Amino acid sequence: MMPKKAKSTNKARRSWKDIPQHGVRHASTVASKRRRLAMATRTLGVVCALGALAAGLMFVAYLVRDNQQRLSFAAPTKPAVEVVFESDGVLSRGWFAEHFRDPGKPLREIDLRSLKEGIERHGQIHSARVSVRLPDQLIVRVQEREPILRARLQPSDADPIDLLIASDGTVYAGSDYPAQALARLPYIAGIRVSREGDGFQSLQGMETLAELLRLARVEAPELYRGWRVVSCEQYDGDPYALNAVLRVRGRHVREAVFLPHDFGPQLERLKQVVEHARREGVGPPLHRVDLTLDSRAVVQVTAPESVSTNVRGNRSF
Amino acid sequence: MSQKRIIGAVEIGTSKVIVLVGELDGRRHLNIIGKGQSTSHGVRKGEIVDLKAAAGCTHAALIAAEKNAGANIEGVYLAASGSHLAGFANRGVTNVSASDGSIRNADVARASADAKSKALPADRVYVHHMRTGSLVDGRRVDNPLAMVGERLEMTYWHVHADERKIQNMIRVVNGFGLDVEDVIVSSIASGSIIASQEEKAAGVLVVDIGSGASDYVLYRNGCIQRSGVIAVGGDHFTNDLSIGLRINASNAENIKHRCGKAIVDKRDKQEQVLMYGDLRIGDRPIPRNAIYRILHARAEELFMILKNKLGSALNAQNLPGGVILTGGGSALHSLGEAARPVLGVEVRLGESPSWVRDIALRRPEYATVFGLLYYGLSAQQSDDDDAQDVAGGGLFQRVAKIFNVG
Repeated sequence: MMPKKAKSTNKARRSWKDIPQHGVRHASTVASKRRRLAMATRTLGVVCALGALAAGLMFVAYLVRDNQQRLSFAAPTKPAVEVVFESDGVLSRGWFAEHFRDPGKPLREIDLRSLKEGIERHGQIHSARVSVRLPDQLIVRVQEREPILRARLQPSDADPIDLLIASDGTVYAGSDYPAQALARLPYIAGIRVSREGDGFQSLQGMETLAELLRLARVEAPELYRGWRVVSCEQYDGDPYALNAVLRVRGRHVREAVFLPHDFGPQLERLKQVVEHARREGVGPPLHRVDLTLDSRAVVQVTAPESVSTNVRGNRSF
Repeated sequence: MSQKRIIGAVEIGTSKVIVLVGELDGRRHLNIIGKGQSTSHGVRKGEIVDLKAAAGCTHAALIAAEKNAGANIEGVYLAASGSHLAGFANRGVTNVSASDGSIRNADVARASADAKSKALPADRVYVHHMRTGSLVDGRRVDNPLAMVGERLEMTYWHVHADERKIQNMIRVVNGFGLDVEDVIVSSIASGSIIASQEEKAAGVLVVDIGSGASDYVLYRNGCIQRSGVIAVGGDHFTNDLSIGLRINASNAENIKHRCGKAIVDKRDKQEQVLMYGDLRIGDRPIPRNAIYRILHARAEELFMILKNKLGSALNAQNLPGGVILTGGGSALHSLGEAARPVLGVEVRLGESPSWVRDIALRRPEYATVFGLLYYGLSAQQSDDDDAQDVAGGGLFQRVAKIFNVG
C-alpha cells in the first residue's frame, strides 16, 4: 500500500525511532514501580558497598603506613633523629653527644625549648639555636664564650681545678680547648669563686680586664706573652673606685700596676719603660712598674730589700 | 573482549504476552536464559486498546521472565503487529559519480537515501526499510559495489505504521523502566527464524497466524519483497465455532484445541465429540463434521484473502519454497492441507532450526519472540543500518559498534 499523500516535507523519513522514550512513564504499574525501587535499592547498595570497600582500603593503607612508622621506632636501621651540630668555637658533635644523648624518640616529640636551655646552661656556651629539618634532622648551632683568663681553684679535699673566665665574667670548666692555647692564658688572682648550681657564680668587672688583655695582645704582644698572673686584690669590679688597681705579674716586669681604666697610655708607658731598661741594660725583669700616676711611671728595678743599698733602684720616667 | 548484554524480546499479542530473555555475548552468541508469559488484556487484533491493562499483563510477563532468567533485562526488541501496519515498494535512483563508471559506497548511499526519502502522512512512521534488490543500468545485481555502470537503482520495501499505536506499545515497555531498542514486525521476526536461507533465496511466504491477526512476509532472492497483515487470526476460528455451535468462547476454544481440524474428513461424518469431554452436567455431543466445516470455512477465507492480497506473486513459479505457516494459530490440525488447494503452492508448518534445542521454543507460538532476538542480532537487519553497512560507515561508527556504544 502506498501512502496517498505527504502532508509536509519535514515529516519525511519519520521513523519509529523519532518517538521519544525517555521520561515516558505513563504506563507504570505496581510491578514496574517495585522493579524500579528494587533496582534503585540495588544501585544504592552497590554504591554503598563500593564506598565501604574504598574506605576499607584506605583504612588498611593507613594501618600499614602507621605500622611501618612503629617498626621504624622499634628497630631503626639508623638513628631516628640525625643531629647536626655547628659551633663557632672548639666544641664538636662529640661534646653534644656526650652531654645530650640521642633522645630516642620522634623528632616531633623533642622539646626544643628545654633542649636549648639545657645547652645554654653550660658556661662555655654563650647562646644556642635549636631547630629541626624534616623529616629527621635536629640542627644545633652554638656560639661559644672565649676565655681570657685562667683561674686555679683549690678545693680543700681534692686536686686543684683549672677554670676559665670569659670576658663577661662567666666562670666555667672549658672543654675541647687545645692545651697550648690555654697555656698562653694568664691566671687570675685575688678573686673569690663561688659555686652556683652546677656551675659557678659570674665575676663582676671582667670586661675591664678583658679590655686590658685585648689591648696588650694587640699593642704589646711581647709583653703580653710574658704575663703570668693578673691580680684583682685591689679591684672589686668598679674601675673608678678609690685605690682600685690591677696588678700584672709577668716575665719582663715582676709586677706592673695599672689603673683599671685608660689602658692605652699605661701600656705605652710600660713598653717604653721596658724598652728603656733593656737599652740601659737594666733587667729584665724589672721588679715593679707603677703606671697609676697620671702620665708618669714609677719603676722599681729590684726588690725592696735591695732598695736601701741601691738608690738607683728607683727611677721615675 | 566480549561484552555481555541481557536483552528481552516482547510480543504483546491478542491472547497472550510472551517475553524471551537472551544473553548476548559480543553480538556473536545468543543464549536464551529465561522466558515469561501472561494472558493478554487490553489488546485487540494485535493493537492496544487499553494501555493500563496491556501494561499490567506485559509487566507481569516481564517480571516472570526476569525472575526465570535471574537477571535484569537491559533493552527490549518489540514485536509489532496489527492491521495498521502497511508497506509499499519504492526505488531510489542515482547516476554513478565516478568517471570510470565504478560504483562506490557513496553512490549506493545516495540511491538508498533517495529510496527512503518518500514522505509519509503525519500520523505514520517508518518501521522498516527492507532492501529488496539493486539494478545497474536496469540489470538486477546482488551487490552493485565496484560494478561498472551509469545508473544505479536501489529498490526497497518500506513498512510503516500508525505512530500512536506504535507509541502505545513503546509506552508499555517504557513503563517498566526499559527502552525499546528495535521494533520489528512480527512476520519479519518469524520469517527470519523459520525460513532457511535457501528458501529465502528461492522464494518463500511465511504466514504467522496469531490470535487476532495474521502477518505474512514474502521472500525472494534472499530479500524481503513484501509484507502485510490480514485481520483474521485464531480468535476468528474460535468465534465462528462459538456462533456456529452456540457455545461460549471458552468452550469453543477448548473444542478447537482438543479436536479441531481445518479440513472436512468424510470418514468423521458420523462421529461426535463431547463438549467438555468429562460427562459433567451440561456436557453434550457435537458432530465433528460441524466443527470441521466451520473451521475449514474460516481457513479457506483466510487463505483466500492472502491469495487476493499477494496476487500473481503467490504462485508455484515465484514460490519454490512454498508457504510456511507459523504462529499459535497454525497449530490447528490440518491447516496446511486446507491452505494448499486455495494457495496452489506447497504449504508446510514452520519448524525452528535444529540448533534450537529447547523443545518449548520450537513451538510455533514462540517463533515470533525467538525470531525477534534472532532478527535483531543477525546481519539480515536491513533497516537504517543497511545503508551504513553498505556504505561502510565511518571509523568512529565502526569503533563505536565494537564497543557497543552510539
